[in-house]
Amino acid sequence: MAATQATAARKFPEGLRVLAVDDSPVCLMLLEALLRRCKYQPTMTRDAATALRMLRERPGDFDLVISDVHMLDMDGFKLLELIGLEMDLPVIMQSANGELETMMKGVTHGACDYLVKPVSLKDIQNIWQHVWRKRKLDIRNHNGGYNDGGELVGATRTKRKYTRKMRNDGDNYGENKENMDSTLKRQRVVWTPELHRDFVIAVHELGVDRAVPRKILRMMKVDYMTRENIASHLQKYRLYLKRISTQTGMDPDQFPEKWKYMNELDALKNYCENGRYRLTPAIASSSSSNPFARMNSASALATNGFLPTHSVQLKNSQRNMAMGTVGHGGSPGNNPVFQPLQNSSNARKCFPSGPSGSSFANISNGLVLDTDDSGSSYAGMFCKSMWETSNGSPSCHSGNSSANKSNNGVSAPANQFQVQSKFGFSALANQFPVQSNCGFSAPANQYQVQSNGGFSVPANQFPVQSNGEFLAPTNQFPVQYPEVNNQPLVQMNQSSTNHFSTIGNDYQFPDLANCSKYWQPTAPSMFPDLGHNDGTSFRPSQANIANINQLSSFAASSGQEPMFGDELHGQMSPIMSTISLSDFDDQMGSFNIGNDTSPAEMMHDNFSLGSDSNISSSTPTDSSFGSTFPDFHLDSPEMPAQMLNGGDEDGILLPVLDDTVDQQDLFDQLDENNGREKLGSGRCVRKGPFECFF
Amino acid sequence: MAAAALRDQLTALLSSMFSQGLVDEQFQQLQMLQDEGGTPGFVSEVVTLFCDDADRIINEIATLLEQPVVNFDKVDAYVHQLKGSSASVGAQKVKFTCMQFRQFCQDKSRDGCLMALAVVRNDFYDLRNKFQTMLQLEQQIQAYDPKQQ
Repeated sequence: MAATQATAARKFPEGLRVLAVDDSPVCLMLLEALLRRCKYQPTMTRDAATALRMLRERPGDFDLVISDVHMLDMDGFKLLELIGLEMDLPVIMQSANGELETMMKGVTHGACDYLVKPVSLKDIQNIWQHVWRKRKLDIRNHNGGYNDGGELVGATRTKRKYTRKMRNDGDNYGENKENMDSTLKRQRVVWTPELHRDFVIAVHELGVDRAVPRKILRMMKVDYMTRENIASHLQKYRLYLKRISTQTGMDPDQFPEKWKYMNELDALKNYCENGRYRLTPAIASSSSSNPFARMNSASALATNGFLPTHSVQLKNSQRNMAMGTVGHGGSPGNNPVFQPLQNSSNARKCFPSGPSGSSFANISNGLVLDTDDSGSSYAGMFCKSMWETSNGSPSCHSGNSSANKSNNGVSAPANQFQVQSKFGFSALANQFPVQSNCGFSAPANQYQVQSNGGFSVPANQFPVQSNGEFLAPTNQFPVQYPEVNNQPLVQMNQSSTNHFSTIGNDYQFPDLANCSKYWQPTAPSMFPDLGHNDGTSFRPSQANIANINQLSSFAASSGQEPMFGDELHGQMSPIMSTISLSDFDDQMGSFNIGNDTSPAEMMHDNFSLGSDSNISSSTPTDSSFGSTFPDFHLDSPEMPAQMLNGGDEDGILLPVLDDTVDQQDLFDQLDENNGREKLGSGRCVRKGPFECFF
Repeated sequence: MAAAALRDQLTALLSSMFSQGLVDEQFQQLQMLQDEGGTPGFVSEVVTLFCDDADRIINEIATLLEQPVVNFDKVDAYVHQLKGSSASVGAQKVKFTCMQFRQFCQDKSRDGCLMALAVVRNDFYDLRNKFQTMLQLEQQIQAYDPKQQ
């Protein structure tokens, strides 16, 4: 008996089933030799896709995965994320690149080890530890589950006995082994997108902090899963959330409660969009009960926006992606707005992550203004990320100090800031209330421009959602810029105390004048009330319109400058003004979309973001705006030139969409002639229609 | 005996490769794996594979660098792969050259890359010749004494 146990003990690491992925045949061969030398059972594959398929098709057939970091068909980190989320397997990363940063990234992504090539026999000899640790951990979780008083399934009862015995006897290997075997035999749950979605929904309903496996299991109503399956997944999910928050530079605790929620939904979306999944309408509907669900669209987008990897990806990706993140925005009753994304080609990473800390900081520097709370800074980050996206310059997201970045970002526009990605702008769209796609067709009693997602009031938000398709049509809409002649100078001085303060320089964008020619007032936009602060708070005054804390203006002109070719040049000027509007009508501007003059050409955009907080606008229920809007379909070419007129045309909200496919923009401009100016974090002195000093 | 002479020749070759820095301990580890693992022919298999693979990669890189617009990221990916391969086989000199090569990729310097490519190629050919000699010697030794393996 003792002999058998000894044999078993000696044998354990033998037969370890290892899946090795490396696109270099030489490395793979070496690895295989090493694995065999250690008497493991290696399975080799040269591409990550095959590896993933094998893992999905034969769950439970592998104990450990060794993956190269750089593979031509898939980033090793992505594979790592996928495996980590879907399967309960330890993953070891290996690379010829031993840079600290890369290694950290690997570990951050959940690699249990990181080997630098050439992999040596000693490295491989020791990898069994990770499997062993995992098993031990599982066993411990197991016990924990029992002690928690969770419901037990029959199969686990036996294990319990073993576990107890093991404890009593001390670490007897034989018992342990048996226990381990049973753990191994435990059915491994493959987390399909549907399952994961249900899981996320359950977690959200319960609250991230209050969610416990047992309750989740009950909510999910999946009979073949055990509490342990859920516990394991929950653990990973929490780690993921934590990592996300770390990367964005925010402590999770700093997030407003809804923030977390958004974040997670975003995670869900990412998960679903990730390669093989699609976002299904169910997601939207399921979350609709939550007030924040309505914000989902913007928030998700925003969340994506400030993750570094996303911003990078946005450049290259298709326009659909933007929509994906947009999700649904309308309040359930009023707006049938939500359109599930169909991103089949979406190459987005499941869990975007990048170098932590720095990237986020950079993003936050964005021009936008921020303000007093983390919630509003969200908007800023978002903007910045867009900025980066559109800018396309790597330097933007590298590790420069924030001050530099902001400067770059802002000054860039002056020099013809080229926008390459549509997503960036679509992101923008979300931030600035305009969301394309179905958005316009919404019923409009209350047309609320929803800005940063999180902040705006849940009710009545009418997000205009934009997606790629939306843009094309826009060209057909004449855009008129009422104040064309004024040579709008936007100066942004940031007085805010927070990290965004570095932006505080004054920028002038004389180029805005260019826009003037083709602008026609087509649609009145509204910029209703901007709740700043967290957005959690609703302003009582909403009905009548309330405060505009943030102005953003985005003017688009048709491509008057041939030199731009098909590209879109945007100029962004940040405007920061805090204005409170007592009367909505006075503040209303015209809402212009696109331009008709040069459908296929580029647009020259002037884009200014203002902000002291987010913009959320709500229109008074009686406003004419609402009534006219329902018919407003961006997609239809024959859209009436003049849709909505907000009255004084003080504020202009311009969504600009480019049909050339590479871009989509929204911008709004509010010009406050009549409004009282409220000085918030910044002083706003009006010198002219378009000048604002802070 | 001729076999003994060949074996001496092989040993001399290997030690010269080692002293010249063409190969490093990793290569010794390959030999050790072969000897201890009871997998005869493992080293020659890996070496052959390496030569083919590296040749392919170098050609890929050369093609990429000929493009009017060089995709440096892709070049870098290939160089990285070559680095991984050479590290695995213990081709130390090629590995070091790859590291310099990567620097040029990051600098996006086409001239630098072309220069580095020439160096890598040169180092690789040099090593490949040695490897081929080595393989031939091994074959000859085997031919003399099949049981020796």
